Amino acid sequence: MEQSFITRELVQLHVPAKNWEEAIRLSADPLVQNGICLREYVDDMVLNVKENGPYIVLTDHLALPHGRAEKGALQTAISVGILETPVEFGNKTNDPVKVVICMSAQAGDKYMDMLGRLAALLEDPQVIEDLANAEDADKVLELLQHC
Amino acid sequence: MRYKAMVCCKAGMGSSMFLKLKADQVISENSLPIKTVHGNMDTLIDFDGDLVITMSDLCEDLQGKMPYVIGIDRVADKNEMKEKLTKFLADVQYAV
Repeated sequence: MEQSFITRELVQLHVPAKNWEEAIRLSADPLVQNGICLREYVDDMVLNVKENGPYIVLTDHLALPHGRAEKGALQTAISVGILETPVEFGNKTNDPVKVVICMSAQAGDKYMDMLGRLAALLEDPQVIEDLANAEDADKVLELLQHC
Repeated sequence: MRYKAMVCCKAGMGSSMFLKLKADQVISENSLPIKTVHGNMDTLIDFDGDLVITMSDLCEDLQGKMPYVIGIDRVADKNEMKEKLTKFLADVQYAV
């Protein structure tokens, strides 16, 4: 059976973020609460955007924050935050962000496996729209079932 | 002839790997004569290939410093990737 990188406790709906930094910190919080990454790793996700810009908004309405593994990624998994209100990250083409998928990633095959599944899934803009409009965590898990 | 492309973003962690996966998928589905390697801003300095594929916000910094730069707006969008890779191939073939 293929391994899943997302579980129910890593999904949040109606995330009340008022800006991009809150969107990352709140969406990533379950990763910290569940021992998947350290708080410092989440700080690094934020720092990455401060230093390198909002390029993590990979496609319309979707941000994929990640940090450097050595900053405290303990396991390879994703958390998902569906924002209550869309937030501007400053990305010219893909703002505003509605869905935040935070990656905790250790280098290696497992990470590449996870990225590959995400890349295949997010190819379809409808999936991101469906995530944004999901009414409960079950729907989010169903949409991400191959992740 | 196979063209050599480096796929990179500033940090060289997640986004550029994502971009490389997408580029490889489009290259293989369309049998394009391009081979990709993964890199970051540091390894880019020594890159001797034909093409750099990156996010569009980094594209401006690299214009003129590299033989050819493609900036991608929507990393998950295969059509955009295909259009820009196809344009690269048309451009270089004209230049020969």
